[in-house]
This record gives sequence, C-alpha cells and structure tokens, in this order.
Amino acid sequence: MTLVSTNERGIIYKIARYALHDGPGIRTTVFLKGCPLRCLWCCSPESQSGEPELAKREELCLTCSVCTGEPETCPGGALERIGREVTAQALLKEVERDRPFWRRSGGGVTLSGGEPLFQPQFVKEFLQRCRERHIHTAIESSLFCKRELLEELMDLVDYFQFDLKAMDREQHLRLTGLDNRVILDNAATLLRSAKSLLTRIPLVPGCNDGEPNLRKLGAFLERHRPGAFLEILPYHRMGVGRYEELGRAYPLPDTLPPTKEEMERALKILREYPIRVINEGGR
Amino acid sequence: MSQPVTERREQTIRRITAMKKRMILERPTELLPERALLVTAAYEEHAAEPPVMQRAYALQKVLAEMTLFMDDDELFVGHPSPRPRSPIVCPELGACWILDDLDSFATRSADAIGLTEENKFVLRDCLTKWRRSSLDAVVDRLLSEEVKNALDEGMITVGGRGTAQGNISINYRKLLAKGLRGIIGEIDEKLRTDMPRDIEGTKKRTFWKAARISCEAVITFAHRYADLTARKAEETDDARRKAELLEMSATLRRVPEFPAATFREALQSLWLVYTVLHIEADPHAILLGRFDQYMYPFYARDKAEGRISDEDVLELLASLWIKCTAIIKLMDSVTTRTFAGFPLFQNVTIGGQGSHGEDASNDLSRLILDAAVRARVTQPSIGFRYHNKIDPDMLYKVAETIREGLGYPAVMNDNCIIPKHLIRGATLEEARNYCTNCVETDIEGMTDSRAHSGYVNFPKCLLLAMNDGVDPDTGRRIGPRTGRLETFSSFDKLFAAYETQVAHFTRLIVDAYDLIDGAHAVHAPEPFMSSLLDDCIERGMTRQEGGVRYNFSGIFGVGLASVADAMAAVRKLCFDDRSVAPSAMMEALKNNFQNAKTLRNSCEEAPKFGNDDDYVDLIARDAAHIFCREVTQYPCMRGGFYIPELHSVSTHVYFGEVTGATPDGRLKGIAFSDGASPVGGRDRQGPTAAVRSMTKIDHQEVLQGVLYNQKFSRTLLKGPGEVAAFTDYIRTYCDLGGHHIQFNMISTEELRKAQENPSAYRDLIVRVAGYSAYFTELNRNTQDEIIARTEYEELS
Repeated sequence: MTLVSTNERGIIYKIARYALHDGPGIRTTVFLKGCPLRCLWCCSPESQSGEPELAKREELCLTCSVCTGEPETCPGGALERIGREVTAQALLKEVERDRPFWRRSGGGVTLSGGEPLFQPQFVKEFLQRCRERHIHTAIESSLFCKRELLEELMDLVDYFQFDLKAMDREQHLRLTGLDNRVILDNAATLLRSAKSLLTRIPLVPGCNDGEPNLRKLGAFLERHRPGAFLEILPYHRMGVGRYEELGRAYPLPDTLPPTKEEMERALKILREYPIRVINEGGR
Repeated sequence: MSQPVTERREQTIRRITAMKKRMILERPTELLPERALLVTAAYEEHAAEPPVMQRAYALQKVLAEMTLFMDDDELFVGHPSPRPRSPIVCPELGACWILDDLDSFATRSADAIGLTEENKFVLRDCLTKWRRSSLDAVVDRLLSEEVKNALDEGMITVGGRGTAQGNISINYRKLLAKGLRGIIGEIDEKLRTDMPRDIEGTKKRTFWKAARISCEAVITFAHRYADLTARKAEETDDARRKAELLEMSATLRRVPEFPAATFREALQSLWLVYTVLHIEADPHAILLGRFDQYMYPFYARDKAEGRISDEDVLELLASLWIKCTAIIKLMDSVTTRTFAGFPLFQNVTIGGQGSHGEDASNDLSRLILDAAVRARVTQPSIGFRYHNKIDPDMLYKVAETIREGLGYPAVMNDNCIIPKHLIRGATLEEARNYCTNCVETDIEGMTDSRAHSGYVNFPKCLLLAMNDGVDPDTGRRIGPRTGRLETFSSFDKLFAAYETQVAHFTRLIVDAYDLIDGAHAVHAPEPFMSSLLDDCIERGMTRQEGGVRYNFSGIFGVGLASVADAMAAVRKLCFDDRSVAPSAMMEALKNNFQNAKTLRNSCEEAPKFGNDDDYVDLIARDAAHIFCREVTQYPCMRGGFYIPELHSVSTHVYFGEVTGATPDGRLKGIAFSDGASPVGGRDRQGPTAAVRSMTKIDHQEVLQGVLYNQKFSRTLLKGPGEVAAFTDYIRTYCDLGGHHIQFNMISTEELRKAQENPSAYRDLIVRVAGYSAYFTELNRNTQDEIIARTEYEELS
C-alpha cells in the first residue's frame, strides 16, 4: 500500500490510557465518534452521533441567568463538549506518549468507538502511520463495513475484536437497527483469515440470550474457526447516566444484568461447541 | 514434622489470630511510667558521669529491672514496654513536650493513648525534674527567634527536637555472625590498644566503656527472659507449649550473646536487640534491613537439614509482623495529627541485587510476602527492590501482594537508587546492599541519613514570593522581600522570587538542624545502637557524633504538585493569557476566593500536574531541581551533607491547614499534594499519563527519594492477565527513572463505608503516605484526604 500523504481528520470523543481489555498488553484506546448501529443496550450513547455534541450534568448546573451554552464558560462545569477533531498525525503523537508502556507489555493502540470504520480514510491513514512506526494495532468494530475496506485493513491491523450481537437477521434489525448480513459475511472472512482476533457477545437478558441465538453463534464460530475464542460480556447499566446527560431516554429501562444462573446457562450452551468461551474478567 | 499440612497450617492461623487479638486488636493503648522512673533514677545515681555513660547506665537499669512482657503464644520474645501498644516515655529527650501534652494524651482526636490519673501524677512528678535538662529543653534554648517564628507560621518543621531520630538499620549480619560477645571483644581490643593521648582519645574510651556496659546489659536482659520462659515452662501443663518454652529458654541463653546458629536463634537474637534499640532511645523507623538476605543462610541451612519447614517460617514471620505492630511510639499532638495511625515506619527490604549485580530474591523473599498477607497488620512495611534482572515470578508475586490492599510492598527502583548511593559516596558493592525506609534508602548498617531533619512548605513559599515575603492570608512578614506579583514583568521573575524564598527557608532548617544535631551528640548519644553500626567502634564515636561511615541529613519538600499547579495557574492567567490582573489574583487569595467564583473556576481550569502536560509538569521539574540544588550545598554536622527528598509523610495535611488559599484554586486550610504525587483527583488522564508527569521530575538528583503514592482500584487487577499488565506498568515506571511507587488498592466506596461504620472495618488497612495504617484509627481529615485521592477506574 502506498503512503497516505493527505492529513485526514477524524472525530474522536475519548482516549483511554492503561486499557487492559482492548487487545494484548497495556493499550491506549481511541474512541471514534459516530456509529451506524443503535444497539438498545449501548452504554456510550455519546458515541453514536458523528458530530460533536453537548452533555449536561444537571446536578452541577448553577442555573445561571445568562447561560451561554458553551462548556468553556460554564462556571459549574455542568456542560461538557463531547467529540473533537484531530488529524491522524496529531492523534499518533498524542497516543505515542504511551510507547514505553506498550514496549514493556506488548501493547499498542486500539481504535474503538462508536464505529471506527465509519471514518475509513482517517482510520486507514492512522493505522498506516502506526505501521510505519511499528506500533501494534487493534480495532474494535461492529464489522458493518464494505468488504473491500476490511480487506485493506487486514494488512494494517494486528488484532480484531468484534461483537456478534444476534445471528438472526430480524432479531439483529430489531436490536440494533441494522441488517446483519454484511456483518456476518465480514465476520466469516475474518474468522477464516485473520491471524489474531476475539469474538464477543454482549449478553442482554430478554434481547439476545435465547438458546436459539446462542446455538447459532456457537455453530457459526465452529464452522468458520474451530477453537475460536468467544468472550461473554454481561449486560450492565452503567450507561444510564449518560443518556440523562444527553437528554435522551434509555431504551431498556427495565432490563437487568444477567444473573449468575443466566450467565451459567449461556456458558453451558456455548461450551457444547468446539470453541473457547471466556467469561469477562476471568482472563 | 510429620504433622499433616492442613493441621499444621490451622495451628499457625490459631496462634497468629490469638496473638493479634491479644496484642493489637483488643489491646487498649496505655501510657506507663516505668521506663521514665528507671531512667530518672539511673541519671540520679550517676549524676557525675558524662552523658554517654549516663545513657549506658540508664539502659542497664531499665533492662535489669523493667517488667518483662510475654504473650502466651509467642515463639520468640522481647517487647520494649510492660505491655503491647504501651509507648515508653523518654524523659531525657522530651520531658517538656510530654508534660505539655500530659492532659491531652487520653482525649486527643488522633492516636489517643490511655493514661490513668495515678500514672499521670507519677509522670508529672518525674518529668518535672527534667524541665531544664531534657533534650527538648536544650534545643528550645538553642533555636533562634527567626526559626521559631518560621515554625509557628508553618513555613517549616524541624525534626529531632524532643525525640531520637531513626530511619536507620543496624548491621544485622554482624550481630548474627559475631554475637554481642564478639562485639564486646572488638571493644575490648580498642580499649586495650588505644590509649588516650588527647581529649579525643578520652572521649573515645568513654564511648567504648559505655558501649560495653550496654552490650553486657542486653545479655543480662536475654538471660532474664531465659529465666522467665523456663519458669513458664514449669508452670504449663500443655506438653507442646512446654517444649516450645524450653527451647526458647535455651535459645535465650545463647543469643544475642553468641553467634546465631539457626533461623530461630537468628530471629530471637535480632528481635531482642531490636527491642533494646527502642528501649535505649525509642526512635521511629528502626529498619529491619535486607531481612531476606541476612536471614537466608539460616533458612537454607535449617531447611536442608530438616530443622524447619516453610510453615514454621511463616508462623515466625507472621509473629514478627504482629510484634512490630504491637510497638507504638509516643508522639506529640501536632505530630500525631500529621503522622496519624501509630506509624513506626519499620521496614523490611526484599529482592534487589547481590554484590555482583545478580538477582538476590529468593524463597525467603516470597515467604515474607505470604507472612505479611497472613498477619494483615500495619507494620512493618515491605520495600521491594526492583531491578532489570528480577525474577519475573517474583515481580508477579509482588503485584499479587499489592492487590491484597495492605498498602505494601512499595516498589523501589535499583536502577535509579544505586547510582544515588554512588553519588553519596558508597562503593558499588555497598551501594548494591542498600535497604529501604518508607521512601529513603540507606546502606545497611553503615548509614545515618536522618530523614525528617526538616520539611519546607513549598506552596507557602510561593505565596510569599507573590507578596514580597508577606503572608497574604495573615498580612504578617515571614520571608525575605522579593517583590510583588504586580511588579513582575514575566513568570521567570516570579519563579526567581520563589527560588529565593525556598533558599531562605531551606537555610533556616539547616541552621536549626545543625544545632539540634549538635545537641543530640552532646546530650542524647546512643552507645548501644552505635556499637552495631559501622564504623562507630572503630572510630570511637557514637552515631550522634558522626561515628557512622555515611552521614546525611534529609530535608523534605512538601506540596510539589500543589505549588506546580499554583504556578501554572498564575503563569497562564496573569502572564500568558493575561486574563486575570495580578492585583485581582492577590485580592482573591487574600479573601479565600470569596466572591471570586469565576476567577477560581479559571484557576481550576489551568493545567494540572499529573496529566502529561509539559506546561505544568516542567514547572514541577524545575521547582524540584532548585530545591535539590539548595539542599545539597550544605555540609552536615556529622560529616556528609544535606540531601533532598520529595515526600511529605502527612505533613502536607498540616502545612495545608496553616496556609491560605493558593492560585491553583485550592481554598485555605485544604491539604496539599502528597509526596511528589499529583494533587488528589486532579490527574484525570489515566495512570500512564500520571506516570509520565511523575517521571519528568529528575528522580536521580533527589538523593533521598521521591514518593509516588498511586491509588489503584482492585478491579484493575482481577485476573492473571491484568496482574501481568500491572507488572509491566511497574517495570515501565522504573524504565522511566522512577525512584519509588506504592499503591493504595481499595475502593472509595469501601472507605466511605468504613468511615460510617468503623467497628466493622477495624482490619482495613490503607497507605497513608510512606506507611500503612488502620483506616479507622485515622482522623476524619486524613480519612477524607485518602478518599479524595484519585481512584483509577477502568474506562469501559
């Protein structure tokens, strides 16, 4: 691939340093803003829109008589601007501060989101710059992207991490707002050819934890990559506050995290397949 | 030894639990006058002797007559006072302040100590005799008005005014190899061959005689314990306990008089001597040195010859931890507020390098970690020496132990520290044999580095620099005239004024401490401890006179991150952005930001140390640098020189209480940053960013050490992969040149619960600064401050 000479800009909303669950080693995870999916359980609603936006923490609001609406001048610190524009070059410089930690731990950079592949030019340039500087790269994606893009990325990404949220088309559409055909197709490609990857399922009671979905998932992994790792992420409600700050309604007001029994039931079903199932936190 | 493993283990747990309950958890603190009375009588009996002889006779009398303590489950004995958690009283050192505090010991908010009316009466009577002659009375007469004024204003503190100073490790190797009889042999050799030809020679002989009396007194003390254990053996009907007691009695007939032959003998020998070091002068931080090194040969031999099992060793070590925690030291009410939680700063070093630079960690290092987890008490802390050749499994085990939340082990970085000892004058082999304090490091058995000689209040120096030497809060002139913020044309001018203030107060500490150091040499020599330090016997000088091979005095800079944040805010608002007029800033500080909400908001928004932002990090680096430069230029009285340290223990709380509002947006009275760590809650970019900020400070030039206290959530160390990543994180801190890092592994929620319901959390241990303490024993302010420190939660 040729060197990208443009200086692509992307929108990111967070950089997590000392991230331990987004690939091998100590990682620096960049969260890109914007996602085509609208998963009902999404815990980072601020990642969904591709534009910068404002969040407000009501308990900090001093109800000033003249509210400028600008976070920079908010005396109570109630307003927060989410999302900023960066060039690939500047972002690289920022994350590379963690290089000493990557070197020791075999870590590197992870692009997450939102959906990182929603900003393909920026992501490609960034990853290419990482390649030039021998930085280990990982990507955490929904895999809702063009097949050609994925193929381009195969050379630029050392480690893929993706969710398979629901195997049934209708169910996927209902839970995420999108058809899953492209996703499954891309997942199959990755499972068959990528060197290093991790498949995950967010286990959301009443949404995707039914036996048929779990069996289809197990069979899918068995077919495309026997022995593949599958991590189960139990649903959590830590995003609820974020919806309030953005003035949106939480889509799953009554859903509770899976009980220990529900987790064990899912594990039991999935472990019938020749894949390696891991429980979040147990690694 | 044929006993089943689980049964043997349960026996250990029973013993440890029982000892801990009786000696610590359910033991009320109590102040008893016994030592004070015995010492006073000895000084009266030997009124014509020079002080070093009086001290020896006092020790002799106490050891011969004091009430011996012994717990029913102990496997080795020795305790400095008649009961656990009963501090001893040193009238010869601190009669004045103890008299002043006598009515408040039992009622003070932090570290209250029980005292009956009868004992109070006896103590008052005894201490009154010392009103003019105790060390603190002498020191009070010596200190200048200028120093006293700076002390009153909370600009500085000066150590050793009414107490012995520790942070010292005796030569344990030599004690175990030669026994006190061997040491006495060395002394006799000097007395035989070195005849006085001048006054120096006379002084030397006096010291040797005093040291000889002291060593003999310790042997007698051991024999008293031998008699006691033998008597207890006769009295018991329990066959197993009888056998234990008889073995202990036989051991005490041999050690510490003669060389130790087994692990048990070595432990008994060093512990009895350790006890006596407390009885002699009761300094804080008598270090246990490189325990896993000097004890290893005994462990390895006993193990190979089937005399001891790892479970036996665990039991002995856990007992050692409990016995250490059972000792508490009497401290004045101000000190107690800032050093809360009865810390003694005892420390055990593990890991590190051998004399050829090889990895020295061994099976005993691992057992020490296991024993500390089993005992779960506050003392002694463990300092783990990291270096490039460390066994990865050892580092992993250290990380797992950190996860236990005891607040230790702290990680000390050989890569940074060994060169410091070379700069301080040691040979390479000596440098590799350093042992740890809480943050400071010393070469075992041959260094007297006087940590806590004084503390400088950095943020208050800045306030004076902004206001021509006048405290904006009180309007009082405290420091030299260096101009006003309104007249400075650039930030550099402000920084130069700050340098002048720091230089002035550093100089005041040096002036004061030199006098104190001299007073210790004349009035408070320690002939017994000196006899176990290289090269006191050879030179014929006590450690107070400079008999030890390497001498230093440590000055601590307090509130580095606070002052860097404050300077960054002034630089940004008053010089770079010019958005705030200097006069408006001064006015706001004077009024504690009242009616200046917007200005205070801007101050808080300015760059803060701990976020990998050069704008403020380099100010911290420069502030550290000028402090180091000022401190190291002064020679100290015992030879050697003053050395800097960025560590505050908990003086940052006290200095914060007595300092007005600062330009970083901090209100009057709020605590400053701890050690060199970022201000609690202000490091928001994750641990790697905080580490990068921390290591922009040049740790190499801070010769006595740099404390980095980082609070980590236990959730970050759940599984083996996370523990492994944590070890890489520690390695990286060391790669970047860090001196020391320690972790508070606890959830804030847990701490809040402990505040509300202390009785359910008596066992909860937190790292206060250089030491661990029971959380529920700390006062509310210290608790709040611990809670405020940043907790790193995984960003999910």
